[in-house]
Amino acid sequence: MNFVNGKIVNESECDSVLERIEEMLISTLKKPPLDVNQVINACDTMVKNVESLEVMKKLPELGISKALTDIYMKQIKQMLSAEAIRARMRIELGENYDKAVTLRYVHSHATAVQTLTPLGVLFHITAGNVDGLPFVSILEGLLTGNINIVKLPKEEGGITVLLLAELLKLAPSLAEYVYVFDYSSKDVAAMQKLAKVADAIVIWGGDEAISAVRRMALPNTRIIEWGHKISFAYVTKEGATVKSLEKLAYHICLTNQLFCSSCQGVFFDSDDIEDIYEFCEKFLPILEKASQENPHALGEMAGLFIQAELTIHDYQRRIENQASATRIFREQNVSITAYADSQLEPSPMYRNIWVKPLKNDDIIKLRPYKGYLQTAALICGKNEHEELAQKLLRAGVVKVSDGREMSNYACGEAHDGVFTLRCYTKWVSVQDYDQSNTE
Amino acid sequence: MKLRTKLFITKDIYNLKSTNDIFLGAMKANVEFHMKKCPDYKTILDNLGFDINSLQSIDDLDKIPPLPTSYLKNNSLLSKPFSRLLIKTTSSGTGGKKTLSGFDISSGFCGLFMVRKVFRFHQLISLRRTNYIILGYQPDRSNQTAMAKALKGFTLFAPAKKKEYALVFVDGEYQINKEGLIEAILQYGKQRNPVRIIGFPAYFKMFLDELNDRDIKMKLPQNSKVMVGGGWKALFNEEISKEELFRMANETLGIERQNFKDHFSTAEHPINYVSCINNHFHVPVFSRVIIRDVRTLEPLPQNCAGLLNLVTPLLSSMPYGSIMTDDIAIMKDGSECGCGIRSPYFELIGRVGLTSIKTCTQTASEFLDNTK
Repeated sequence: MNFVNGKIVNESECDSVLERIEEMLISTLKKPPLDVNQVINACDTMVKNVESLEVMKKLPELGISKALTDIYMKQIKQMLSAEAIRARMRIELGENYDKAVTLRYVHSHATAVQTLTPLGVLFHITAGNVDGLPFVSILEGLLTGNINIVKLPKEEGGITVLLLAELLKLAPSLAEYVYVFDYSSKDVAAMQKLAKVADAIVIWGGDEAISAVRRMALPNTRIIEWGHKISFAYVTKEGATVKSLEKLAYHICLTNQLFCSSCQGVFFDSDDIEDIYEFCEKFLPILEKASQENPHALGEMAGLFIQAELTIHDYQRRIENQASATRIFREQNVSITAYADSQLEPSPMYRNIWVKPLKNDDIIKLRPYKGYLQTAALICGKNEHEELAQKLLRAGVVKVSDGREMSNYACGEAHDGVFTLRCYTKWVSVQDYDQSNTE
Repeated sequence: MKLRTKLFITKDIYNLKSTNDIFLGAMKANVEFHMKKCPDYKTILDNLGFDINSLQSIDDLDKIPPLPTSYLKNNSLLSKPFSRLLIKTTSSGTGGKKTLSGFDISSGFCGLFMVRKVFRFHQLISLRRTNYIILGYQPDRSNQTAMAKALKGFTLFAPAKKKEYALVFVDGEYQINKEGLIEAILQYGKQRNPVRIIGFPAYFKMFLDELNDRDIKMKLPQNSKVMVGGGWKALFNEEISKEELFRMANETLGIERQNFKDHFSTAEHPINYVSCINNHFHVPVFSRVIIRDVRTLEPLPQNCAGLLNLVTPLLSSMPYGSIMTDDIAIMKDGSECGCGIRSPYFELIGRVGLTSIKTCTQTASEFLDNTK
């Protein structure tokens, strides 16, 4: 779906917008900057009635489970209230982000005023793994006063435009700050045109997408990368209580392991493969129970395809005679594969995880994955917690939580180790007019 | 290998029962031959504890350890030097890993017997000069894919008057030849020779869409045929069903039901499966099909979905007697079809995993995305 100036537009209209986009952007950029309070107030009003929004009723059609819808609703309410947004801005941009700062030049009496301003035009190339991600990305752009051009991911389902339409109902003057297109990323001409008019490209995606953007972008265009990350759980014998594992199982089933912050597998603090098997046997029924309580929308067939893939890999290992310690533990809806190596890797997803040995002294060996590491759920005893958290951070992890909060956002929490709003703004200074010039 | 020859000259190509003993014998000889000629294959079977004497009846075929196609993409097993093969093919032309495959002389002859029989049964052999629309790659030395070779092979069963390709080789790369195809079909429509359209279903759909966009509707000359093969998208991204594609072909080009054919074959298992009038792939005497449980790999009864395991003694060039594809399929009893062929048939449901292994048909759909 394409959405320009607050209206849904068809493909041919879209192409004509693309023709004129530079002029359109300039006419907006000429005006005084966007009043961010409008955005904040509109969000605040919107989330107060989030349950009654049309778009929320559409979530089940997009294959989003009831449990997840409830969580989204709760998260939106928490994240987008005026109070929460202002708190986030203070944390990310500094207490006085909305005030001008006076600067003094060292060798003269000259003074200047420094203010926080938007980058200008952001071109968001968004990904499809998190529902509503394009909307959140636009919102972050609006909160920093930017014009936002968005390329929707494939099979987005229309949720972004629905949410935007609600927002623009409350703040119609934002219309010229939002352009949504569903051009394919393979439409090189359109991508290049949009990249050219932007001050910064915000890219959500895997290594390939990021490399493509780096090749496409002009040297004077900033690139802000939200690349693919891998998250995992680190579990010790002492921490592996039913209660803490239930939290992890719930998270795995809720996110289907699709997010960057989703647990792909478990590193267990041991170098004895028997301990790994034992942990798998303990966790399997817990994971299965969580899965039955939160059935996923993909259906039985998808499960069949994933199981088949696991089986073929396993069979292939047998053919290659890798007399391996690899063992698959299966239940009706979930599986856990025990490996003897300590490589960090993605899982087959949809409730199929791996478990590997990693002694706590070896956590630092995850360093080669630097840049890919994101969240680690630390499931350990109270006395081990501090030390293990530090070890994980030193290896390059940017967030340590328990099993349940891996994918949850705490107000003001950094994203992949950086503050998003700070990336979308710049500090500019203007020297005060020197009176002596006229004397 | 005499039993193999006997099998491949069988007259009644869908009477499995009458060939069970020959098939078992040929298969046993095939496995023994390859274990002798291909040490890597022997090692695999030995490691998996295979015993040739366990093959006592046709129901024991599942005891032959199947080689997964994903394994063969990284490991080519040969029982004869590749350079000495008569026809060489690779699966997957433009992306992903390649499987070397090919026929030696004796496999080649058996293959020809088979193709002739299967095509004759499905009334695909004709002496009339025929105009072709080939929805695939124009042959070029650089393209050794089984698909390119198969497309070329198909044009031998009815002599070609003219051939027009969807992907033509220009300046060192393949380009889509949209205008050429449209011009050709308009021209063919005015002639009396039958037309044959062959290739990937995705390309055929695109071709029909293009005709519809231009408001072109025609009734192709009598006995014109459409033959598509490979690349039916998996369950999750299925764009169009076979039935829908037939309906479109009927509406736009006047293709009749009995002239709309689907074809299934793989580089590793080069048996021709041609769809019956009800669009089903019945198993011919040249092969047997086993569906295996996705968890245990145990053989499953009919009507259960599982991994598709294809068995044939055709090849003496490579030990690909029993191959496990990445496809999930279901076997059904022949009587459920109603077309008159009694042998069971299989339906493809999708591919393993959510990020499946790249094959040439997938690359073709990527190519399509790229040029839209």
